[in-house]
Amino acid sequence: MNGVKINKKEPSISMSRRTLLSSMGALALFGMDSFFSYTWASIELDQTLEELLVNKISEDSPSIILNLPNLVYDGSRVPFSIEVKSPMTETNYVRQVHVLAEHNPFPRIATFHFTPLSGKAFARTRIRLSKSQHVIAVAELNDGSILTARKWIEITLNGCKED
Amino acid sequence: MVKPKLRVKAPKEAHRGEIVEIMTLISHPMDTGLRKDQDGILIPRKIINKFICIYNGDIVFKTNMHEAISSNPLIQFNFIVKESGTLDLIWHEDGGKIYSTSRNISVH
Amino acid sequence: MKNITRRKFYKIMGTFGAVTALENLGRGPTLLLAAVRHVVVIGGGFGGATAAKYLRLMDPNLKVTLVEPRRSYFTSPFSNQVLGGMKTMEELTYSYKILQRKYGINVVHVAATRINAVSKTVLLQDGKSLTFDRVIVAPGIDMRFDQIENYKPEDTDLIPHAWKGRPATLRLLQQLESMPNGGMVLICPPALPYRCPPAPYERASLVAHYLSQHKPRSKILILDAKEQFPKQALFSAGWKSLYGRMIEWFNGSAGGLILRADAKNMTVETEFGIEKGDVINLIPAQWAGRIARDSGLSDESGWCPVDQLTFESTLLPGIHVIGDAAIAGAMPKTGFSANNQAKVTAAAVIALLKEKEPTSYSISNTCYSFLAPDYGIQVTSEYQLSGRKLVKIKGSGGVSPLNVDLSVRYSEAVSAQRWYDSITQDMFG
Repeated sequence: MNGVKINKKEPSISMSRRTLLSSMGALALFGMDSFFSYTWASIELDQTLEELLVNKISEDSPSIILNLPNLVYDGSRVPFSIEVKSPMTETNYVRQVHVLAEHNPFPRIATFHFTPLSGKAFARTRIRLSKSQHVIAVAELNDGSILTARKWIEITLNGCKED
Repeated sequence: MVKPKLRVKAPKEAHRGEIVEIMTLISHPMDTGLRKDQDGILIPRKIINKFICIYNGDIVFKTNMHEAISSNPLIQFNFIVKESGTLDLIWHEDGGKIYSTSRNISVH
Repeated sequence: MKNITRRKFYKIMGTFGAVTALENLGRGPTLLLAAVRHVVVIGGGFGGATAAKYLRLMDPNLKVTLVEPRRSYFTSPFSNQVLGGMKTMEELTYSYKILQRKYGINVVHVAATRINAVSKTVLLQDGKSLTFDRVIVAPGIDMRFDQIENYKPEDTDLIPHAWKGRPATLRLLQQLESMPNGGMVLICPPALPYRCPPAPYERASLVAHYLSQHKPRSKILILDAKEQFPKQALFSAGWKSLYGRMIEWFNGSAGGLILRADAKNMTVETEFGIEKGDVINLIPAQWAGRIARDSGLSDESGWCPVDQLTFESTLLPGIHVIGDAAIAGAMPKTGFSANNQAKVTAAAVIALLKEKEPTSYSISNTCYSFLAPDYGIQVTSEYQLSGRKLVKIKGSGGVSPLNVDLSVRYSEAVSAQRWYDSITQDMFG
């Protein structure tokens, strides 16, 4: 596994889309080199996020199951889980899933790293959301291809003021 | 700060090749750096920023966590148990502190 | 009557005492004695029994009827001692006979089903009704079955709350006695507000006392809906020194909050998965006793808003709500609170009947908790009216100190017993 692969099957990649994918590819490379010290901040993060956050990604992948409520009163502890439907073998697996909140003061929520030993690309946690917004997932497969999905959630109370 | 409490739910036994479910929780305020204390002074950021799960020396799952993970971070994930062994669970805190615990799983 | 303010209405009623008689005509022979004012008290617990007695003590001309279906009363305070093997159920059971004989209270052992603020009547289960000039409602609590998935009234046999009444406490006691050494006891307290906030932790302590003597390999897991609990530092330190690692506590966000119950399989479910218990003491969320809710005295919270000067309902005139069911500002829902509120309310009711201004007051509450038979701790607070809301008086009261000699804990245990003896004497003696 070396180099950067972009999913060639994607039809007509727009300019912004291309920027995104190359960023993600660089990310993948970086991630492999440094499994532990990796952070997103070291690459063209702002640009990547911007692309993601201005709703320019064309469609949600049906393989990503973003599980969070449609509406919660309190954004400080929102139940969240994600599963990417995919084989998990040495040659074909989900390598990582980035989760973002487009309007949080710090949009990055978490990155889950999977391995063929994971058995399935599933993770569950609880997240803070400052207001109603899209929660976005970006999954990167071992061949470098990218899948994305988003889900809108209504929040009544700001979750970043948690006591 | 009080020493974080670690909670882990992992099976004690599994079949060979079984995908088991692991649930973990560390009691931690996950201070975002945005909140002020009673005197109006910003509480510096201190979060659990990484969680790593190693089984018999192999990383099976890892998470980078940011400010948007709720206090008392709960992480649930799965992995395939191929042989009996030890599951090491490691939490990294801002500033370099590490909290860890382990569980044994026996394959039958 | 809608256009007459409440105060004007009292005035009319007072000036024209005969109006009362006229209004009541045709409802029964007692009305010929209309000059005698009649106060009905619904519920014979810490609030109601005290209110009935003090109404008669403060105004012997008043006719007082206490409506309480049970023939005897089992006190929730100190009932954890039954679970700890320190007291029998009989020692905590009181009769209404003295209230009847010594204080001339008319005690009616039937359930009240509805209060009508307009006709000023209380409907009773037996079809009869009582007419009142004012009514004090002390209905206590009912358990809520709408907060935890799959938790139903019939489940309380298998997973008893033991939060009110003799039978529920007895069921929990029997389960503790029959569980194996090495078993797991789950205690699951709800979020505030609920009856007696420190009591789940006293319960954990006294159950641990019993288990450490009879089933020392057992464990107690407290799965709490809350993030912290009253007197937490004192309880935590006491548990460690008395019971080692027998008691473990998890706050709501650390997997303590119960989402689902399965009485048949003896499990509860939290965000952190399923916990199995040999004994499960699920203490559910609560709301005002049914009579209050059925009569329109509760708001969307399930509790009853009152004018905290008089404890008169802000929803319906002429009806006072006291004790656990009332929203009493900063006061916690305890037997002692109810007892003190009853006295304030008795005085206010008498003042209002005589069309006098009810007087302001301050009021206190003490919660004692036992961690072991000779180990007591307490928290005391005083409250006063700010406008018409009860607020805690800054700097009042206090909590038992940490890190003191066991003799201090012993003397607080003795004080606690004295408190119990005197408050039950105050209610029933």
